[in-house]
Amino acid sequence: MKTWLIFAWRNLWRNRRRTLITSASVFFGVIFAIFMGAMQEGTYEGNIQSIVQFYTGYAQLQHPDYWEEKTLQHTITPGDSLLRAMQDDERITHISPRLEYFSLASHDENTKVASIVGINPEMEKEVTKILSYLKKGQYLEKGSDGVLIGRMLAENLGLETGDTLVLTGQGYHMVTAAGLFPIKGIVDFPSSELSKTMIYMDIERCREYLSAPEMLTSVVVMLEDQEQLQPVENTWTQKLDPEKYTLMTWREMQPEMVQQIDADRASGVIFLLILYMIIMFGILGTVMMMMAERRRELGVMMAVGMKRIRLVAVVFLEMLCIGFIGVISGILISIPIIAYYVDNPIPLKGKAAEAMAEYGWEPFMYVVLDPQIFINQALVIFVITIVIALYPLVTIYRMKEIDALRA
Amino acid sequence: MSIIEINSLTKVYNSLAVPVHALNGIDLSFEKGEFAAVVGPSGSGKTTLLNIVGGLDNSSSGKVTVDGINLENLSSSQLIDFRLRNIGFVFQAYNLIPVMTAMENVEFILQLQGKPKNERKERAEQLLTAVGLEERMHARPSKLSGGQQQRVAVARALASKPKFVLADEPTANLDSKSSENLLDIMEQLNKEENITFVFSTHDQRVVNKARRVVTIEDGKVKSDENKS
Repeated sequence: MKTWLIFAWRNLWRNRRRTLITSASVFFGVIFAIFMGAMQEGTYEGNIQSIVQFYTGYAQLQHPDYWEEKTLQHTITPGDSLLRAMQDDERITHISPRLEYFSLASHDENTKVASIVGINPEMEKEVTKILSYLKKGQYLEKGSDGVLIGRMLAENLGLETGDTLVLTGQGYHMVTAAGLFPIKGIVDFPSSELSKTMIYMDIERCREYLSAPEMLTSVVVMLEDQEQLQPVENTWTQKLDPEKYTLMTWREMQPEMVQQIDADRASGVIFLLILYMIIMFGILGTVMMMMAERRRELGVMMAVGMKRIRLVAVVFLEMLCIGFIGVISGILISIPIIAYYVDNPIPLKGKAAEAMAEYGWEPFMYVVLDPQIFINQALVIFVITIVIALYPLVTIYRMKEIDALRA
Repeated sequence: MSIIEINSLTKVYNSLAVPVHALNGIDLSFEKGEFAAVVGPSGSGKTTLLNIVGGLDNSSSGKVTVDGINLENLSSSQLIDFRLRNIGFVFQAYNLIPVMTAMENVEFILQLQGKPKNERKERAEQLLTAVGLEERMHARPSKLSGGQQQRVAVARALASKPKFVLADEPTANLDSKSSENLLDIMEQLNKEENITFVFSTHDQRVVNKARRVVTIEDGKVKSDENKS
C-alpha cells in the first residue's frame, strides 16, 4: 500500500502546475463551503439563542390552551414541588415563572396598550438578557413596587425613571385591575415591537394587580443548548398531566423562524451543491487529462502484468491526494479565520441591522466552529472522488493493451 | 518441447472497408534458450506477431501456445497474470515508468508478483549490475541516456525470471555503441541464464548476433535460417 501511495504521490507531481491548480480549486471551494456553513449555522444558532434568551426560552410550561387563547382563564398553578423537580433536572439550567397579560398604560393624557409581565427578578435575569437591555434606572428587586418599561413605550407616554405609571385593565374573572407603579428602569429592547409594549414588574405585585394569586401563565425553561431540547421535551411530556400542562418548545412558539431557517438551509444546500459540482468538474477535467496523457504508460503497466484494479486504485489514490491536499489546506486555513469570527461576530449595520432587530435577533452575523462542518467537507470530497473514480475505472477496464501501447 | 508454438496464425485488421492481412498463416515454434530475430520490411507483420505471442493482441484465427497454454483460452485478467509470470517485454521506446528510479522500475515487476522487499531489492541490484548500471540504480529515466534506459528495460523484462523475452525493435532508438552494448548484455544473459529472446528488428547488428533469423514478408514466413 505504501509503495502504491508513493507511486500515486509522485505521479501527482509530474505535472506540478496542474496538481496545484486542481488542489487550489478544491481549497477555495472548501474554504468557501466551510465559511458558508459556519456562518449559516452560526446565524441560525445566534438567532435561536437571541430568540430563546430574548423572551421565549427554549421551552415554556403552559396551560394546554394558553398558547391558542392567552387569557387569565388558562393559567397554571404548578406549585413548589413541580418547579423544584424542574430545577432538579440537570439538563435544565434555569427556570423563570411569569404571569403575563395586557393592560392600558397611561401617563398624563397619553394611553397605550401594554404587555404586563410579572417576573421573579432574580430568576428572570438568569433566563433572558433583560439586565443587559436596561438603559436607565435600576433593575427590579424581589417584591418591589417599581416597574421596568420599554424605551419606546416610555417615550410615547412621556415617562422617565421616577415617574409614576398608571395601569388599568381587567384581572382574573374580569375584575377591574388598576394600580400606580413607579418607573424603576427603562429597558431598550432591540425589537421595536417589544420596546413599544413591554412592562415588567415583580410577579407578586402582578398577581395582586391582576387578582390572580398563585397563578402563572408560563414557566420559562432554559437549557445548556439546543441539543437538550428534544430529550427534555420527551421526559417532561411523559411526566406532566396533559389536562393541566403542556411543554411548548420555541419551535412551536416561533414557527415562522423555524420555517425561515429551513428555507434558508435548503437554499444553502442548493448553493453548496452548485459549488461541489464546480469542484467535481475541476477534478474530473484533471483526471481526464491525466488519463489521456498516460494512456500509453497505463498500457505498458498492463502489458508487464499490472492488474486493472490496481491501476484504478493508483489513479483513485492520486485523486484522493489532490482532494485531500485541497481539503486539509482549506480546513487548516479556515480554522483560524472562523475562530476569529466566533469571538468577533460580524456586526450588521443600517437596514439589515434594523430588520434583524425587528425579528428580535441580535444584529450580528455569527459563525460557529463546529467540527461536523469540517468532517462534512472531507466526506463530501471523498464522495466526489469516488464518483469521479468511475471515469478511470471505466476507461481502464475498457482499455485494450495494444491500443494503449500505440497511443 | 517448444516453448512457443504458433500454428496457422492470421491477423486481419478491418481498416474501414478494406481488410488488411497483417499475418497470413504463420507456423513457427521457438525452443527454450533461443536467441532469435524476426526480420522483415515495415508492415510485414513482425510487431503484430510479437504482440499476439505476448498476449497483447488477439489473432483472427490460428493458435498460439506458450509452454503448453493456449493464449486464446485466457481471459483478459488471466492474460495479465500470465504475462507477469511468463513473459518479459522490451519495447522500442523503453517505456519505463518515469516517476520511478531504475531500481524501482525493476522492483515494480517483482512487487506485482508479491515478492518480499529484500528479495526484490536483491534481484533488482543483481540485474542492474548485470546490465552495467550499478552506478545509476537510483536515477530516474529522465536522467538516463537512451541506451541506459533500454538496459533498465532489459533488467525489468528479466526481473520476473520469465520463460522468454519479447523485444520489439530494442535498438531502434539507440546509437551503434549503445546497441552493441545492449546486444552483448542480452546475448550474455541468454547464454548464462538460458533465457529465450525473440526480437523483431530491422537492425543488421541484431540480425548478425541472432542465432536464428526468421524473415517475414506480407504476413508469411519467407525464410527461417538457423545459424548455429
